[in-house]
Amino acid sequence: MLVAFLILLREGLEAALIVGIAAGYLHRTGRSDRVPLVWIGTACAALICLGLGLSLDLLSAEFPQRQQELFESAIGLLAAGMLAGMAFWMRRAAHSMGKNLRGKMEAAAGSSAALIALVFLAVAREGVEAVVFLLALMQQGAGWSVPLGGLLGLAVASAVGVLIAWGGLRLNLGRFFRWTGVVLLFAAAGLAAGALRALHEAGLWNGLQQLAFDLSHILPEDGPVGTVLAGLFGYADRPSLGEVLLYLAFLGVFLPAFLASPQRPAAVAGR
Amino acid sequence: MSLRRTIRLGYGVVGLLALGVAVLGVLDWRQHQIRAARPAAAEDAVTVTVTASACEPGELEVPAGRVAFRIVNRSERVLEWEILDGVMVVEERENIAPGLSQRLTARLAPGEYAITCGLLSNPRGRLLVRPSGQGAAPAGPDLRELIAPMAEYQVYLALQGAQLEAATARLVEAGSGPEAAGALAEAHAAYERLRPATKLLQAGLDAALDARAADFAGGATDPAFTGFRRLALALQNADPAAPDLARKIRADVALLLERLSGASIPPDRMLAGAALAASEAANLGDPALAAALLEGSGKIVTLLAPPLGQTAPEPAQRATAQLAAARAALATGDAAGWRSASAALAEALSSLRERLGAA
Repeated sequence: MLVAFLILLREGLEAALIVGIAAGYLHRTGRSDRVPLVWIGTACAALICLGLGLSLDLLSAEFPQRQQELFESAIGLLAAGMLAGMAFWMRRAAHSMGKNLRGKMEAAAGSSAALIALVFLAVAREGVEAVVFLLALMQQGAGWSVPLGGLLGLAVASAVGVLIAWGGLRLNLGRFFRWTGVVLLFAAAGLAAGALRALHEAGLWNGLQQLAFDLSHILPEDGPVGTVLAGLFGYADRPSLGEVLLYLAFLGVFLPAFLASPQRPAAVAGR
Repeated sequence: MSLRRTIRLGYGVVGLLALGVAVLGVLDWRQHQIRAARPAAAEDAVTVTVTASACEPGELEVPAGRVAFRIVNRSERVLEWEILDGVMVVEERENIAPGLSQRLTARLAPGEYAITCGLLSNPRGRLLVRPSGQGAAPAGPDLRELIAPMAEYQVYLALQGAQLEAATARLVEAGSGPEAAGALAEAHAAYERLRPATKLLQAGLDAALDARAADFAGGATDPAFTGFRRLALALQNADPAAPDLARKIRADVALLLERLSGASIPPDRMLAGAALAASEAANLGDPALAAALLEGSGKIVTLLAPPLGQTAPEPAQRATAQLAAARAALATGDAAGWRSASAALAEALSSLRERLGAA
């Protein structure tokens, strides 16, 4: 069923983007031996979400919406901060790598723990929503096609994650860092705006709730294209003014700073 | 190397978790089979069906406390269903796929809420939560505390009535002379201050005094069209009927004041009238008339918000705040500001009235 497919594709893409970039990043910085940690973090988060969902179903309880939104909001803000940090950190790393191969990279070795924590949190965040949705499907015995559609969506999202990681391997190093950095900043801005929405849905933030624009007839969030955009860049078809302002402010602060940084092609050339 | 050990440990954790999830899955599956074997228990949830264009039913009434909803999506789009208090989200459920339903359990305090019904362009539904009467619900206001504000409002009506009477006397005196326009504006404003009381209690006289040309089949020339707005047109067009219209106004006002004198207006009517006056102020372009309407309903807010605020603090505070916002916007000539604040004031007064019914 298309709808289940799209819903889980969206949730999956949000996580796959972060997981894929984290894995690609570890590969490119010569720490492939740490990549299994990324898979472990992903699997742990997915399993914990599934276990949580099954336990709640067993107890005939519901996910407490407020707490879930608060959790999403907190992780969203944390992840937005970490993604932005990662973009700048990778730029610095690329710069030092040009001069001194991988020597300086070891200075940043401790951050792989942070990277894995980020992967874990990103998957846990999306996993909670995905499990809520899957459980509702199962409970209503909607037949096999619906959960199958959902699982297909997750599979496609995982494939996209692998593609991102693999694409990271194929790209020229400097370009890899520059483009992933830009993608990361857009994704981080989307996460920050989404975190604000989650705060509103948790009943905590009520300012600036005027509708900024309504694209739900042109590019609906639950259509195929909208789903992919929502998954990767936090696209919303009916965002509130506050969300749009936060999104623009986030990009307005970080994107110029990131692009204005010295690319130093000379450093690579002068090996 | 420690990394290899960490990874091995990690795989171990993943294995353990997978085992745990598998056990939970089997348990859950068995429980579902047991549940399915039992005859279905009576469904105690309130069912809301969302179609492509609206909620069915569009208006719900539930007792306060824990309420279970079953939201059925009969539209073509993925649904997000919310219970809203103003802009605040009280509860919500996301990702309801077409053709499916989701359960939502909410703990609701008495009051009026809105529910979203799919697309933004669809009308929102109304959710009325009435007090369940079981200890948990807050007690209604003490009616004895409302006697003093009612008496004070009567005094206010008498004072404003005297002003209106004097203003209409000047209006008749001015005839169609140069002072007529000023006297008319003064009398009309004095009347609007009484509007919360007259609009509901004396609808017939209110129509004779304050109707608009658009309310009549014959428009501005309809013989039944009288009152302040008709006189304003007559003065503009140097219509010889002006003195007659002014006299008719004076007679109607005299009759109105006679009927109002001594009438004791219950708090429910006061709030209903104030809400009507505020929503009318939200649609007026003339700042002087809007100010007069707001003054009239503002009097009721200042009289009733303190005693009602003890049991319904939220709408009482909201009403006071919106009244202040509307006045501030009027002072600066911000038309959009007073309109939106007046509309919000009307809404706050309606919820305050709803809480009054809880008594």
